[in-house]
Amino acid sequence: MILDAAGDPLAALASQVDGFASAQGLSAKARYTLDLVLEELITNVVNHGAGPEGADVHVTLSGEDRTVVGTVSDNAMAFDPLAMAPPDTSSSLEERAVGGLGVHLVRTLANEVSYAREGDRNVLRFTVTDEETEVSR
Amino acid sequence: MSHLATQQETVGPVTVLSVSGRVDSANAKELETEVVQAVEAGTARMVFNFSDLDYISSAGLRVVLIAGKRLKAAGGGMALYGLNPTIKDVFEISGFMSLFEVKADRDAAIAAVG
Repeated sequence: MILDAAGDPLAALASQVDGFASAQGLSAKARYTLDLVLEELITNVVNHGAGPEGADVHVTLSGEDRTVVGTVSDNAMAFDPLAMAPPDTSSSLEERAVGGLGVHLVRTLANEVSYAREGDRNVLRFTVTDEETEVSR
Repeated sequence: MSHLATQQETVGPVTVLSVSGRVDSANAKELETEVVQAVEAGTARMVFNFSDLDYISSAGLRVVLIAGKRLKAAGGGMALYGLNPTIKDVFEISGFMSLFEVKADRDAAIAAVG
C-alpha cells in the first residue's frame, strides 16, 4: 500500500490507516501505536524539516504475521529525528521541558525504528508487532 | 475517526474537564486554549476525566504538561482519572505517572486536588 499524503498529511492518512488496521485485524493497542508512530513522524517533518513550500511525504504500510512494517519518507532537508536527545522524564514539573516526547514515544512503542538519508529523501522505517493474540474489535 | 469533545463541570473549588475522542496535533491547540482560559479565569484546581478518551499523542501530552505547570504556578493542582491501558502506557513512557496524580476514579481525583 502506498499513500501519497502531501498537503494535509494527517487528514489524508487517517481513513486509509483505519482501513489498513481493520483489514489487518489489529488490536486496539497496535492500532493506537500505529496511529501514534505515523502522527509523530509526520508532524516532525512538518514542524522541523519542511520549508515554506511544504514537503512531499510518502507513507507505506504492509502487514504480515501480525507485524506492520512501515516507512515515512520525505524530501525535506536532511533531518534525523532519532538523533535528538530523549527528554529527561525524571525531572520535576517545574523543570520539565515542554516537547521532545513524540520521538521518545515512537522509539519506545515501535518495535524497531531506523533512519536513513537516501538520495534527497529522509526515510524512517519502523515495525509494530501486534502482541495481543485476540482481535479486540 | 472520532474528534475532540470537552465538557466542564464545577465541583466545589474543582473544575472537572471531561475530554473525549482524540487529542492529536490537529486539535491539541483547542484543548490548550480551553485550559489556559480556565486558568486565567481563576481555576487553580483541575481534574481531567479521560474515561472517554481514545487517543492522545505528544501534542496532547504537551497540553497536559502545560496545564500541570500553570495550575501549580496558580497555587492549585491537577489530577487525572479514567485513563485506558494504552494511554496509561503512554503516560508511563512520558514520565507523567510520577509527575501527576493519576487516580482510579473521579472521587479520588477530586480528593487529590480539593
